[in-house]
Amino acid sequence: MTQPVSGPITLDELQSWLVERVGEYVPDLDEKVDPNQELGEYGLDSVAVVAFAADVEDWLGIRVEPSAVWDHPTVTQLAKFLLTEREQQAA
Amino acid sequence: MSDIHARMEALEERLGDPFDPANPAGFAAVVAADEREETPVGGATALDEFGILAEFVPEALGGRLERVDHLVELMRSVYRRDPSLGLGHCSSSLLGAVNVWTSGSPEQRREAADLLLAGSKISCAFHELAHGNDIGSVEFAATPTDGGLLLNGRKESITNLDRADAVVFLARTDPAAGPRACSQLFVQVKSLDPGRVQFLPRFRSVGMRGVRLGGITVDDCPVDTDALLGTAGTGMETVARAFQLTRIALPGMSTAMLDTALRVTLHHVRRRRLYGKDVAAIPMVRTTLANAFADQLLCEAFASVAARSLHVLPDSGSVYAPAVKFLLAGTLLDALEQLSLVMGSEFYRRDGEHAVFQKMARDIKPVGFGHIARAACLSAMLPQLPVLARRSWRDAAPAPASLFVADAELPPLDLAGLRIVAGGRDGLATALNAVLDDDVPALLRPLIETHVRRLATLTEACAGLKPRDLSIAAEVEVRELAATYTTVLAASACVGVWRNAPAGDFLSRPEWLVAVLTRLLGITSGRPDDVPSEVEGALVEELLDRDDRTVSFGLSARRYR
Amino acid sequence: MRRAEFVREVDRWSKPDGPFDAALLTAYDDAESFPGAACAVLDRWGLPAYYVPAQYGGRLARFDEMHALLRKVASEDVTVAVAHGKTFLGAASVWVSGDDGAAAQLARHVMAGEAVAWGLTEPDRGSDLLAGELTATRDASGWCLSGRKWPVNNATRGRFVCVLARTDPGGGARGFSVFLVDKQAASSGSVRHLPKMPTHGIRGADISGVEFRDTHVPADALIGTVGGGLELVLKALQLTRMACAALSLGAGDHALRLARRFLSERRLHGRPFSDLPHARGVAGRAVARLLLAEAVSYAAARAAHEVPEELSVVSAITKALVPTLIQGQLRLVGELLGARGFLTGVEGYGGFAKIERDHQVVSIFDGSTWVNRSALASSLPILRPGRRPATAAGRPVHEWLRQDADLTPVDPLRLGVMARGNTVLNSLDDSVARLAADPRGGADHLATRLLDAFGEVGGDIARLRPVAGPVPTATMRLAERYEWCFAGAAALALWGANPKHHDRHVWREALWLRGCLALVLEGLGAPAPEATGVFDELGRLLLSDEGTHVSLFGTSSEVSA
Repeated sequence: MTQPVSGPITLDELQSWLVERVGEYVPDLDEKVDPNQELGEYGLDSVAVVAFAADVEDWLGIRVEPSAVWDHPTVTQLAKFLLTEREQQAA
Repeated sequence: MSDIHARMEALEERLGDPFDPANPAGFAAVVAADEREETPVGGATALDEFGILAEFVPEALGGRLERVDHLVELMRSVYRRDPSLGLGHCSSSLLGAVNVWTSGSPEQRREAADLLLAGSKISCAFHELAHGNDIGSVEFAATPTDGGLLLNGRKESITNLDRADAVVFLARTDPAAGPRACSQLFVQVKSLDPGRVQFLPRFRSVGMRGVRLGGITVDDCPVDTDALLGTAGTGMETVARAFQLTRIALPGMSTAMLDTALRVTLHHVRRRRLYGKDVAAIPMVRTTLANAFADQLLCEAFASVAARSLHVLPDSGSVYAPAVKFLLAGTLLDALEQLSLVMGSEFYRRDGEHAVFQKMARDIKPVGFGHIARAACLSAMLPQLPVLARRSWRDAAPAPASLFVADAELPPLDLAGLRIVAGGRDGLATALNAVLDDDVPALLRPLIETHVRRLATLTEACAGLKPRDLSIAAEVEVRELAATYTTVLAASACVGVWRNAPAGDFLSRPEWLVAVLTRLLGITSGRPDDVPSEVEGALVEELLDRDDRTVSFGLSARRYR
Repeated sequence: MRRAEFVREVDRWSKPDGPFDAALLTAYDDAESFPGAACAVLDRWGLPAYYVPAQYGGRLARFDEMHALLRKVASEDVTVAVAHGKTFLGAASVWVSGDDGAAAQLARHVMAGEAVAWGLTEPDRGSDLLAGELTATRDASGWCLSGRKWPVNNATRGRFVCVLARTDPGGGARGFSVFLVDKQAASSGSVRHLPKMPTHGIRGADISGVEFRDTHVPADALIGTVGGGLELVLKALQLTRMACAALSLGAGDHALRLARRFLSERRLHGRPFSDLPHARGVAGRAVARLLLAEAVSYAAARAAHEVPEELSVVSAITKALVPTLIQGQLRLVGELLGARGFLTGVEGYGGFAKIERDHQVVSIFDGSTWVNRSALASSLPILRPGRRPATAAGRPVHEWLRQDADLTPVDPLRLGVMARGNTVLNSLDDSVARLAADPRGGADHLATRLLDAFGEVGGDIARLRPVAGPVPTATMRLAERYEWCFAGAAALALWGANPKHHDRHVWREALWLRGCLALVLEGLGAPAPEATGVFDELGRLLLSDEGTHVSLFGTSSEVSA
């Protein structure tokens, strides 16, 4: 499974990791995942999102509630949130 | 009347579109009648006009009963709409009549035929609550006196007892126990002294609520000796022959309840969206639909082959009949339960367009215990297993194709000629052993091999069983051998149907056979494997197509209204 | 102790002419009228106080206790338990919200006997919470509600109804909020009741609906935060799903009483029915299913205190598995009873069909078996063996599963929507080791098999690739196997936690544990050869003097003299 990152990470890195990860959840998707599209549109609904949140946890090494995805429903929004969250949880 | 296919079509037409809310024999009327613990008048009238009871009268007596498989298929048109109408208005009369056909004198046969041809009902009064399936222990007595018999006792939970013109009683004529203690009597209700009989209040039931279950107590009521069917003491023997037919036919008709449950489920899921998706596209829903469709096909394949076996292999009905009853009952009950998961809360409604589903879920129940209980089916098969194992199960020989083909020519049905024991003859099992001699698609071979091996294992286990192992008090593991045996028979029936299906027909394709052979492996555990994913799509596609075309989901795929 | 007192009271009420007299409750069911007298005595006894957390002045300090009371009610009549217990379901969102003001106010009403309904479902929306269209918009001094909730238990009779309403027209996970509506306070004409839905079972319950037409509610009707509705409901469901298990257990107790009576009095072929190994085997299986259901429910109730952050998974497992176990148990008992389970008027047994009909609702409401299993399936990747535990180890399972353990007070704020571990299941290794150190009756062999099977399940979970959208069938089946493993682990942990009980009643020779493990292994497709013997022992136990109260700890199913 995902190897946890250590050390600093940029918003771009975070965003492209999320895009890639969402893509894995939707193997039949033809186009690239749009970072500004709501994840629910890709079938990551309120229930399916729990496993996704756990993936993010494993990678970033921080606690991520599924409700974070509810509050920040696009990759762009989520990436920003996670970056702040990681800094805060590390502090 | 015209040939059977025309009659099937005519009956469908007469009973009309079941989903039409204005149809007096449709689901709306059926559910409304069920609420009143009745059957729909419109349905009964249509059946009377059709002359449904003539279908139970042998041709030789002026009726239309020629082949058991045709009778079953025709009656599915009734059962798919209302099982209470199917049993209460129709096939309950068969339960009584079949004993008359088997053992009655020419006069008795004539009398019974005339009643049914005139649309009168015949009741079959065997059951006593205290003895259930153990009908050999009935207490209802017919005691010989000078010039006649005196009836005493009580019968309970008897269909149509209060409105039949004639009754077939099972009565004790010898107070001692033993196989010759019981006799059957065929009695006109009007001949009973009204001062000496008392009809019991109606028995109410959770399912088949439209069926009138009655009872009777009789106190020193005289009947003529010539009411006896056959000679005194042959009552159980007649049962052993006559009920071979009904223990195949009634469960066979009951598959129509699964057809309806499946059709209603499809109506529900195909119109519904959940979580933004078509419910019919949810994987678990698709799998459950495919499973139910496979179950429908395997039940009907086994029932039709067994029905034809009464014509083609009349030696073996004593094992095939309880095998069919056991396997179909369990499979149908499980399938309905699984479909109710797909229906979700819609299952729980007694109103709305899917209300007939909960009725089917209740009406299916007696298939498990009515007529003969599943447990008693195993008990009935057990004593024959060692002989079957030693004499037949190691052999390989193809069975006559007519066993497996829908309209192949069949020898006439001879009820009196049916055997009480099979004498170790089992053409269906030996046919399974012969299948692998021919070309079999790679997809199927390992599955068929598994079933053949299963028969071999069964043979080893059964050949050495001693009579004391096989009694009513047999150990659970021994009884499980009988249960497994029913799956081998069903597998052979399905393979035969597949092999003999016309080219191009859905039944000639391997997918459904892969599905049913997979299901059969675990079916007696109540937890059969799902239809394999590689054939699921083919089954669902066929199912949806049949739904679109309004044809049966069973073996015949005939046009339904 | 109040629980013992309650049991005595309910038994007293169940005597002829009491408010729980079976004949009376059957009549209510027939007439589809609300069992008001039975609910009233429960109110008078003070049962509603057990629906209110102790911190708000109620008596709900331990879930196991509340469940035991509800189970006792359900063991007499599921309809009454559903009709009365519904208030806990309706109020749960308020308790979980941590909104002390609203909770304190509602607490007073509940303890005064006011019913609270829970309005989640809308016509044609199924289980999809986010499809709801009942909307709440802000107005001058609060909110304005428009839309319908149907079908809803107690919608008409309940003074309060807790609804999930759309507060963002776009919907989505943050688009819904919970409101507690006091219908008495609403302006007249703005709340309309929707007609009672005729149902398959619980026919007397008030399954109806409510329509809001621009209904004004004050600002403090909002429970929790705007947009917090989904989260609140998901958390509340965790508590209510476990309460549903208590209904199942009660139904199972009731059915077992009938089975015991039948086995004791029935004779077949001249010998007691219970002499037949298959009859004992079927009965023993029925016992094992009830005990396993009890073990799961018991562990789940205590998990709510000790590991509430895991409850999203524990409650989903409980709700998927327990009603299914009991439905299967009822099927087995029905098989034993035969016609007596089908006829509704036979003295002593007529109630069986009602139990079955009533109980079927339990697997439907508060999320069906499939809804819960899907939720579990979506969480499986997080639960894979080897994923680092996200929470520090708390009290060991063997401590908090001890019968007389003090429990950590419930803290709703610790509930979550994503469980990061499964303490009960993770205790499996330890439990098996404990058992190996003090093996009883051969249970250790079964436990080792379970460990192997769980190893396979773990491997399959590790290989699982999560996908968005509906759960594939194979993953649903994997979730089902995970449920069985959890059940086995719960049983083993209970065994290990309660050495004091090891020499009494069903605990002797680890009988109940062996029965549970045998069932679990069957569920996992790895049946143990000793299963038949174990079920036979359990069947004998049901027939023994101790068979009057088949339960792990207690009195809940005790039969009054």
